[in-house]
Amino acid sequence: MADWKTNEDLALIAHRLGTAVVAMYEKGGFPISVPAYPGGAPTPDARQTFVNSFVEDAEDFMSLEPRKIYDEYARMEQEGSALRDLGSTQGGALENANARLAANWHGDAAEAFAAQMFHIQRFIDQQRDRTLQAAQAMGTLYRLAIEARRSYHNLAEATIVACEKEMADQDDRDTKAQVGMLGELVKTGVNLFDVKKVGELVGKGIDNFTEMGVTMVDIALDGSEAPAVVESYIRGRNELRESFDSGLTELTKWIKLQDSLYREEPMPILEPLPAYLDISGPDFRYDRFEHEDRPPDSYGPRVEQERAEIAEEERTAGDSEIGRRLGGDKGPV
Amino acid sequence: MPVPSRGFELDLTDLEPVAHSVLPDLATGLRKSIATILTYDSVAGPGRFDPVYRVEGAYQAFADLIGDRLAVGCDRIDATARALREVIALYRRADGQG
Repeated sequence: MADWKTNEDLALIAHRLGTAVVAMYEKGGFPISVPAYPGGAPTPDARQTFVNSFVEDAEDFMSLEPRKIYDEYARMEQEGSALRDLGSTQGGALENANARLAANWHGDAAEAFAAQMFHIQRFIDQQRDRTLQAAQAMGTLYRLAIEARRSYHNLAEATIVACEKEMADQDDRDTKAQVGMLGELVKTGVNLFDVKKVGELVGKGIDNFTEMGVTMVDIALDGSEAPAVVESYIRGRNELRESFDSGLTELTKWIKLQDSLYREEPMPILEPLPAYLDISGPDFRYDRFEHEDRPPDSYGPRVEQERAEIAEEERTAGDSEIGRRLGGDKGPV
Repeated sequence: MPVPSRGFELDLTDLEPVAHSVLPDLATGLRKSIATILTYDSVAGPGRFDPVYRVEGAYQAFADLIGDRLAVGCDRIDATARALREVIALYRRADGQG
């Protein structure tokens, strides 16, 4: 798991930033006046309200909890991995059954059973891949949450330096904040694997996402006077918000796209079984599931006779006391 | 790969493990994943940035779809196993073994 800026880290740096801005304004002789509500009279505790507004800025970037995202990622990766293991341990048996049914049994019911073995195998692969895509979404979101937090922290830190620089006229300190391009980050995350290769996600796990490259840009926080420093902070904060929004929107679009592709994907296993596979239904016949050793002319009537007897046994069982009770008839009350 | 016939009785016997264990075990194994896939705990933090709710909604719908399809698929696998077991039992009776 990676390190990230905690909620406390962000709240603290935002508080420090608000305090630094207040000090810079006061030193520069700029009055701090904050209306109690938009268009209203100034609030009596302008300083605290001013500082709190920076903490509120920081809260936007605390809107995702990396620990919870990691847990969701891990659950989905684990289930995807379990589906993969199930597919590989049972795949051979299903292939074998498909081959036996196709080679030695004839008729449309035999073909449907053989096809069903193939459909089941395909179904397990599809479920594995879509579950791992859910993990991929969470892996990308995890990195997005971490970078959004780090970027806001960098922005606040650089703004504090800009405030100090403005107050002390220190020219030698860096007032650029490095922030991640979060929309690009998400594009990288969702393109790490396409659906055919998403099985490769298992193994390297979350490191696939924590190790991917992220493009950073500099936001300059210079300003010759206190209001200009705050203006450049507000511009940087807005850019970062837009970048965070763009990352989340990009990921939402990708998830919705995968959702609709998944809905359109043919999944014959989800269809009800053909009625002619049911021996108690009217459509079953021996020649729909026949073997060359037992020609339908001679063996078909024996199968029909047994079907009739089974139906009669079931009817009789249904009429018995136990059968009535099992069927939901509680008898005389 | 072609599978040579071993005759009616043995070919029928060869289908038994599929109907009695492979498919039921598979359905049981797949069902274990359903509850986990359908369980979603919000990943939101203390902030309230609207686009977070949109991504959560899309993700949850996707995970629900995966879990719901898994449940239907398991029912179909069970139905396939049951239908095959009944065919095998029917043919055994027709052969005088039932």
